[in-house]
Amino acid sequence: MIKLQSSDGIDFEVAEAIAKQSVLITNLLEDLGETGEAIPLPNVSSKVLEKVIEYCTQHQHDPPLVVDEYDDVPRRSDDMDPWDEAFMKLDQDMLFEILLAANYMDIKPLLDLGCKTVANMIRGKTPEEIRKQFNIVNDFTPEEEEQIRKENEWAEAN
Amino acid sequence: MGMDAAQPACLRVPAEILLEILAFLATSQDSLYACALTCRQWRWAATRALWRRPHFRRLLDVERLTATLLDGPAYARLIETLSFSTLPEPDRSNPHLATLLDSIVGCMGIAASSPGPPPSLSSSSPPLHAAAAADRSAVAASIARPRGLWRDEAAAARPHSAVDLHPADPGAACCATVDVVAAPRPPCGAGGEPPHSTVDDTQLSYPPAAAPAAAGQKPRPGQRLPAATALRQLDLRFCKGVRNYSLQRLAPKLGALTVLNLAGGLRTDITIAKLAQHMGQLRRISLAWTSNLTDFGVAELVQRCRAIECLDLTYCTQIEDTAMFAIAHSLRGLVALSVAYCGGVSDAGVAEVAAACPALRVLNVAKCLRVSDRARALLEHQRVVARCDSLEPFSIHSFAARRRPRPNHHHHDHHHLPFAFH
Repeated sequence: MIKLQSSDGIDFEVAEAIAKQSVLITNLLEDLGETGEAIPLPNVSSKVLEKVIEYCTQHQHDPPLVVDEYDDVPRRSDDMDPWDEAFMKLDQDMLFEILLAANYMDIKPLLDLGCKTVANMIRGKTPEEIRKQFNIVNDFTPEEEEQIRKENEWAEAN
Repeated sequence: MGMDAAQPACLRVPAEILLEILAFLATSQDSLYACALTCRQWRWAATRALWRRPHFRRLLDVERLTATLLDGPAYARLIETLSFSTLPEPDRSNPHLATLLDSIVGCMGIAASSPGPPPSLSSSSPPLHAAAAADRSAVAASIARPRGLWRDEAAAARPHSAVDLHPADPGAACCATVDVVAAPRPPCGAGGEPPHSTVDDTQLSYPPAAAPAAAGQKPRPGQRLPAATALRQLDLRFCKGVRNYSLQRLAPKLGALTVLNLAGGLRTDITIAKLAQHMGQLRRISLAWTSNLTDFGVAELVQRCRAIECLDLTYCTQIEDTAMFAIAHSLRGLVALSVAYCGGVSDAGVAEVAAACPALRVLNVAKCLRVSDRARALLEHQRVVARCDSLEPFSIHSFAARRRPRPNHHHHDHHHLPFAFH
């Protein structure tokens, strides 16, 4: 078992197979050896760490990721596993917190899952709808907006 | 990356994660376009995702993209892949396509020759406003639209490497360099200050909140700058509008290409030989359906471009064993080769390639009438896939890192390949 300590000082004890889905932890264990002491994760709160561990527990028996040697084929986001999709039904703050944690702890499948989830929230929306979805404030001047439209006109549908 | 708790959650994610998110929208260009129009921070990332690999639905899209670049080539640095194979057939055959390709690659030349410090994603450094007066020269003349041409390519940092997140090796982007030639400086706005337009599109981190345009470093005289564009992938599948002559003329600017698809373009031996002289970085190339191609063209190609790993010669009906011998002797790193439907290829050629290329995983000899079943069995024995079918066609664009089929695991059913190409 391996102990992980969240930013708010709470210890989580998890099986090695679960913890080692994080490349960060794998590397730390390699460097430090198993000391029995809790590994501090100063960027991850207990609330978030709990979710991350839930994900890693579910996926502990997954085969390693197959990476396409050639990165020409566009990545898809419509191939989510039902458990993953349900797992990602979170409030937006939590969703982005998990993205940050997955990035920090270097858990590629979870990072991809989070990115796919957000991508699916964006897909097919207008700029106004996207702003509303994510509470973004339009900080463009009308001239800027016009210029972006013009410069990227080639990409516009119609 | 300014982590301000007051910001909405989505704006607190660092640039690299936003780029990862948008990468999943690569097939949804409309969505990326919408993202570019939501706010400044998203514009930064969405612009990168959009320009990295523009998707063209019609010639008008290509014309508009070219117009943007001619107005200010900064965006050219973001382009990594150009593919015209998604255009409808009449557009692919339109000779105007060649002119547009020429302009785009020309703009990429200008943009690429503006030196900039290596990228750093996390720092919120001031705009990389540097350099780049002297080197605007060379390609300049080739572009016939003076207005606004010089606007702000100076701000451009580094090309496509901005998009992938690994700090790029400054030397690696381009294979060739030239000495900067001093050039007459084009007229600039007051104080040479570019209008703020595309400036923040070329930075490598989110644009700082208030970005005063810093006075840039001047390039040192005599500094060596990249000559080639940073174009990595070019897909001219069945684009007969880009004629052999245009392609040959473009060859010196294609030195950074790693992937080139010329399938079905009526290319000639001479064209291939010319191109090969410049493409030392080439990893994958398709010349499928090139009925004019002979062993001479193949030999010229493989002797110059020895880094080729994946070569598609499907339906190159004039190819014979001489080409196979040239391949075997030049391409030690060959992983996949298709000579399907090449009636001139025989067992001798197949055996030579299979023996000389230790990394070989696929040698597609489907419908090669002079290749015997014995040769196919030999390939399978070496765990080389000998046949790709319509379900899993041979492609230089998708090559999954699947394991080789296990030994003692012989499949005689061709429709169920243990090793797959998509």
